[in-house]
Amino acid sequence: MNYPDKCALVEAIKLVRYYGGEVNVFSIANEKAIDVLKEALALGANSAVLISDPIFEDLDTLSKAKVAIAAIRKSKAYDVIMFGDVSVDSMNGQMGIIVADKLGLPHISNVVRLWNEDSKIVCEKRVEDKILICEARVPVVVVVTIDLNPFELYNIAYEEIEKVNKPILKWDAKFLGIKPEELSKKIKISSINKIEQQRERKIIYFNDYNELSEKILEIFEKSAK
Amino acid sequence: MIIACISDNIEELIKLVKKSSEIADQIGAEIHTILFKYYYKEDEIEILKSSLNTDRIILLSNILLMKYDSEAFSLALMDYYKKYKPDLFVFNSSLASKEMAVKLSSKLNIPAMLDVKELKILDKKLIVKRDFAGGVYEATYETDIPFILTLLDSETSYISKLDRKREFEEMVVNTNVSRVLIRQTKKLNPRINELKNAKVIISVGEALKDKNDLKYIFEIANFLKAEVSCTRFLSTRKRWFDEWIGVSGIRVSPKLYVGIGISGEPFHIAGILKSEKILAIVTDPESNIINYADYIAICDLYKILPVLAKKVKKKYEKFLTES
Repeated sequence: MNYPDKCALVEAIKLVRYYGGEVNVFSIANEKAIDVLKEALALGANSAVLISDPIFEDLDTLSKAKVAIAAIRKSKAYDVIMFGDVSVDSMNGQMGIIVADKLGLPHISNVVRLWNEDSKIVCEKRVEDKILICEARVPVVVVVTIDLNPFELYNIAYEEIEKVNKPILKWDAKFLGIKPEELSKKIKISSINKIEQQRERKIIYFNDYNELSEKILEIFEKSAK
Repeated sequence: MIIACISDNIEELIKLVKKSSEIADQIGAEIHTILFKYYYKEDEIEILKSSLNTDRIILLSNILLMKYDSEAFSLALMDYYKKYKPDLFVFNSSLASKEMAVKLSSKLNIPAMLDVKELKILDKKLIVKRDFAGGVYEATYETDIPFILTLLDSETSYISKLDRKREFEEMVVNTNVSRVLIRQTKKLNPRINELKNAKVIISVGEALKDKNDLKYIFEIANFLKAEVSCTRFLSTRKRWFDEWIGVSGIRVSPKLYVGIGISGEPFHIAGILKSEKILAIVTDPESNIINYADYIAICDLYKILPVLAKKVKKKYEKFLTES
């Protein structure tokens, strides 16, 4: 699971454990995402929906958001819609803001901590040079960062995921009432290249820490001039 | 063709206009610079009016633009769009500008791309390069105009030979604020410029257990005239520093980057790739930073740091005494 999304999921589960409610998980992906949704159920989500259709492949973000909104509208009433801030491959980070904008909901992004107060969600939001405490009445869209939950603490054993027997719902374009002409693929990837690094990768061998510190000092002098 | 430049801060805006002129000169495009009245101070606006080499400065005016609000700013830009229909919106890549750019993308149904590193316009096609998969890869995208992007680094040595028209217009716009209330603001002091300009950076990671352990790091840094910072984990969860190094924090390019106890997750690595030399001092031989380092010391941090601090101190004290 994309780890910013996992942070969002874990936070959602914590919120409903504390304040009540349920967590419904949606993934716009191909069939391979079934395992990710099983992991979400194993972590404690109440239901999981795979939103999949050949016409959803390679969509630009605006169209993906259109699909997400159609799914949100088909689902149960909600108080909080949570997103991870970026996907670690495309590093895009636009979905939450677009979904909020199109649904006419307030959104709080770059969230590092959040809690519930009456019918308000209160968030600690981190920007470059300040920390802001923000609040918005539900329903609200919250975009969380990986700082919210140490995702490595929520790794689940493969056996636990395999034990999941809750059904995973599958929604396609027809079910959501989306026609191909409503979607676009305006951005095409023409190439992906590894950023080549010419690094020496020299291991510093040493007999004792005195010797190692001498060798590190030499590097300081040679490289920092 | 029109390129519209927008930023949430004046220094970035000046750079953005300069960078955009590099593209605009090649394709014969006009440059519009958008300012927000009340958000930019009057004297700042006067400076920009007289100094920016731009075709048109458009001052969007509404009292709700006094304080940054992504909803208010993006709505204000809608009125500008309706009048001029620019082909390309270029924003800086601060978190505020990125929010504004994405909101505008949603409202105008024009696709957007964030953190763009390079951009070319060929036959009305836009070729855009940006980081991919944590920044260890770079992806090239092709798209059409109109388009919205945020430019990651607008540093350029380009000086335009064109003398642009510098027309000024104040446009009263409709807007509205978001329904998010800011209860409290805590100012941080991230050392962005210090780290961006540093020749030597010592950065610490999670293998350092206690903030008190930083005393060795500061002793070493003091004599090396190095800046000290950390990984995202230590900044956001442990609050050891107000900033962190990485693609989501500060990207650095020192002569020497010393990573101490850093595992090297991709977002951190991508932020240090422009370092001339990387020295990794780690406990874990599986640390990913090793794959990107020039020099690698695999050792017990708690044994090497006191010895190294003592050695550095001795060496530089001797040097200072002699000189």
